Amino acid sequence: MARLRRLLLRLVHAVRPSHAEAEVQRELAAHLALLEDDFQRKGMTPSDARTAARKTLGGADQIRLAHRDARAFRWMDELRVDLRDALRTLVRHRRSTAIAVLVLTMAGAVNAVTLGVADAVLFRSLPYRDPSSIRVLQMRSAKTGQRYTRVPENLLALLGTPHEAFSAVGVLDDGPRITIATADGPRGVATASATATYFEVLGVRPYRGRLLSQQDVVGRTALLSHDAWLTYFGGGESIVGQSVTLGNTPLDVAGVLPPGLFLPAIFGAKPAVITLAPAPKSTGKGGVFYPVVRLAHGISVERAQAALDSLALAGLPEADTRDVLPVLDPPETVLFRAGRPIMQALMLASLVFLVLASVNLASLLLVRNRDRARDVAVRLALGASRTRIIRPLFFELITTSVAGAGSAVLVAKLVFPSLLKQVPGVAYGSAPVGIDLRVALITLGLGLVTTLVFSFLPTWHGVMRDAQPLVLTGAGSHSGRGWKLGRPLVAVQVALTVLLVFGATVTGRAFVDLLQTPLGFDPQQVARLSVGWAPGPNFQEQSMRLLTTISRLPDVSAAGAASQMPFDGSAPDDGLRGTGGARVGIRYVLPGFFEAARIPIVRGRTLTPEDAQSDPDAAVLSASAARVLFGDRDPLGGTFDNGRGRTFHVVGVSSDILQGIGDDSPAQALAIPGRDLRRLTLLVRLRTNRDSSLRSLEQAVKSASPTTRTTASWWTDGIFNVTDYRNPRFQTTVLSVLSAVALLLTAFGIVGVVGFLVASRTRELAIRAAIGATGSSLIAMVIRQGLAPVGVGLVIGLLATRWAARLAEAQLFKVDTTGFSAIIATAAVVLAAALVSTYLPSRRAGRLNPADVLRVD
Amino acid sequence: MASKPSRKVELLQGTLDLIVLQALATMGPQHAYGLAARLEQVAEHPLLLNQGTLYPALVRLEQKGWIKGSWQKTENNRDAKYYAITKDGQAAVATQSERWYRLANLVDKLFLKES
Repeated sequence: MARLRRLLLRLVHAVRPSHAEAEVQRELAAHLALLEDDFQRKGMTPSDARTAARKTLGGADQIRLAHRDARAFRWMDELRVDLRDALRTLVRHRRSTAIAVLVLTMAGAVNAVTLGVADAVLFRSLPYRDPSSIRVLQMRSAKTGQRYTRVPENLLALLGTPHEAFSAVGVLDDGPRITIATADGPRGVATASATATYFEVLGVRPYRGRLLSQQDVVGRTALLSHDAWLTYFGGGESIVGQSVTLGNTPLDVAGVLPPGLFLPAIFGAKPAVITLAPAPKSTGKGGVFYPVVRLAHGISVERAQAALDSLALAGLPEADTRDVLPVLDPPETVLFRAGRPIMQALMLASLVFLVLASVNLASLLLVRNRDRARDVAVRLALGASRTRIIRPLFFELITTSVAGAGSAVLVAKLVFPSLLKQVPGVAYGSAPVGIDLRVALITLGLGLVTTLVFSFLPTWHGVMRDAQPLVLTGAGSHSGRGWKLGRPLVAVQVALTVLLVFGATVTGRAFVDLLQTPLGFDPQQVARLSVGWAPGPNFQEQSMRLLTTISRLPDVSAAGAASQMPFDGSAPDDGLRGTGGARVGIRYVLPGFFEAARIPIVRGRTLTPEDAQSDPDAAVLSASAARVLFGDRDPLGGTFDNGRGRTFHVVGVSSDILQGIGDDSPAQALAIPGRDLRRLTLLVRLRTNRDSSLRSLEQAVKSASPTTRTTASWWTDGIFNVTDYRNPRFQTTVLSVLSAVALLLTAFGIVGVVGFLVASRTRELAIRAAIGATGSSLIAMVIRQGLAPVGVGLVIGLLATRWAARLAEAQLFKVDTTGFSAIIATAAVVLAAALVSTYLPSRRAGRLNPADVLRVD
Repeated sequence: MASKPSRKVELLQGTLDLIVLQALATMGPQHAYGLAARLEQVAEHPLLLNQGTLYPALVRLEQKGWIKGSWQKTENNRDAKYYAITKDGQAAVATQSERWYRLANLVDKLFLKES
């Protein structure tokens, strides 16, 4: 108790020392007075008594120090003083402090935002029990290694029987959407079905109630997601175990799934309702998507894979295993298939940026600490320990770093929601993203570590190196040494900037190439209208009438329609195999489609409204489809059928129409749908690109067909928002912004360091001027010296781009890093920025008046 | 070169607190100078390097709650901080001195055996 009391009092005194200090002073004065009285009583003169009293009591300073050590903690006291000194220095240099905090805020915010997404994708463990034992089953092509998500049902049935390598197998399947009425109109609710073992494989515990069991009713017994439970049932406890109706669907609610759960599947990763699915049958001919298995205890992935191979070879018909074999993949490959490489590349870029910012801070400190060496030299000469000298500098940086990282987290938190809209969903899938405490702490930690390693160490090294000769020789000048430290700082900044600029150049170039990829159609000034009416027997006639009405509008130059649009990611309505097994997709279009989309007809004719009446089986082939179906023969007048009793005859050949970026087999047959029309999107080419035209189009549809709901949007918006474009655009934007800021930071860094060079060598430059050097020759000298480390950094950076190129090719979307144009462009941009930032401070060297400088000296 | 033997007694670490506590227990409230004078008188030669050495011991004891200081007037009408032992301090004297006796006894026995 006594010890605890003392510890607490010591802590209090360490924080608030002033009162105790005054008290001990008073006590010592009283002690001396008593001693003096005593000595005087013994016959000493007042002056002798004072001397003797002081001798008997001992040195007042030592006593005060010993008293302070006993009543408080000396290290805390010193810490407090150093911290106060550091804060005073920061306030004194408030402008450079503000710049330093700004630089670190910028770098930290970039890091925090990237980490806000990357954490979920790269680092956080999945919300399942022992996720390393869970594998998703896919099929792999033996020839190409390509993955197919559809797994034969009979293979799952084989795995479902007890097996030494697998403890459980589960299947999830996409379910029909349930439509429910809300205040904002009808709303679709995503559903899925899962086998009773599915959640056993994932090791998920129910949040309320229980999971599914084999005895439950298929399609009826259901689990609710946590969100659905809160949204549709108000989080009511009584719902569990009850029969309810959601929309028109009756459900027996068995339980509620835990919050934040997402499932290893691309579709239905976050279904609101999961009903019981039947177990796969060994006689089943169908397929299932993303089945999951849990490896038995102590079984390695390699052993499980070998067991799976032999199971498939022994149990499946030979035809099923000739081309493809099952493969066990970690759930992350399904959840974040595209996200992991994107986030790895971005995380690396933001770390490079953070290091660059820290090095930049070091060059800023180099300038600020110009006069510090003399102060350190004096303190070293007086016997101060290195720790005492290092601490204020350390605190300055720590305070700056914490302020920078702290404001970075705040900034990141503020801008994250709007920035996330720019991130393609494929980058993080269904994982929860955001700036939480964990991300904030990692940002803070990363900020501190990089600041300490890349700013504190070089700054400390520089200060000590400058101070030591002053102690030994008392020499007054330390001009050259700061510059020696500045050179590597400039070189590192330039090298890192080269890396970022190179990244931006190659991704930017690839993106421009992508934008220039010929699509086979022209989406500019085309409105896309999704029409919300139910297909019926007169669907085609209704649509044709609507198209006729629309095409008469003054703003409209052409109007057509298609059941599916290029780039909408959908599979063809129908298909057939041509010679050599190549597949031709059949897509249904209404006359006017070719004109609205500006798809060139290279032979024959287009589809006309008359065809819809009198020649409903007329079709236009894409050039590739014509080759696939007819080879060297003339396709015009030729016929083909869809394998389901409908025979089409070819009236024209169009140029190829890309269905997506990377689509290397655009073999399409475009035909009039007739009764096969199930859905429709209208395409209307307008004479203007004003948004008001879209609204008048909507109005026209509404007046022509009052019961029809429709929304019009620009086709380009739809196309350029698909992953094929969003992904590269996102990466290009991020890298461009980072490299632009990096260039700016490096330019500032060079200005600071070269300015330091000029300031610390003013005397030498003045002497040179006095003995005849011209202003321009002095400027040239400074630029030469300033550019030397830029050159070194450039060479290092360009060498490092070779390594970055490999990474970019592996991690980013399709980029071409070969050839010298990207390297030359990068070098030119960085060198230009370096030249300007070296020239600006060097002008001072040319303006020096030797008489003024040397007189002051 | 052999150094001249010091006349001052080197204190074992931690014993000063016990000595001060014991002195206050027997003498009653006392200021630092009075305590130093009393200890020198008992030891019959300079006990400490100097009287200032007492202050860290006094602050340690005060923080432990074993003594309590208050400003009062001396007989000569001077201000001085008087330290008085507290109840906890009296209990501490008993336990600390017992520990000291045990230690001293052990050291004593060891020396007797060695000699």
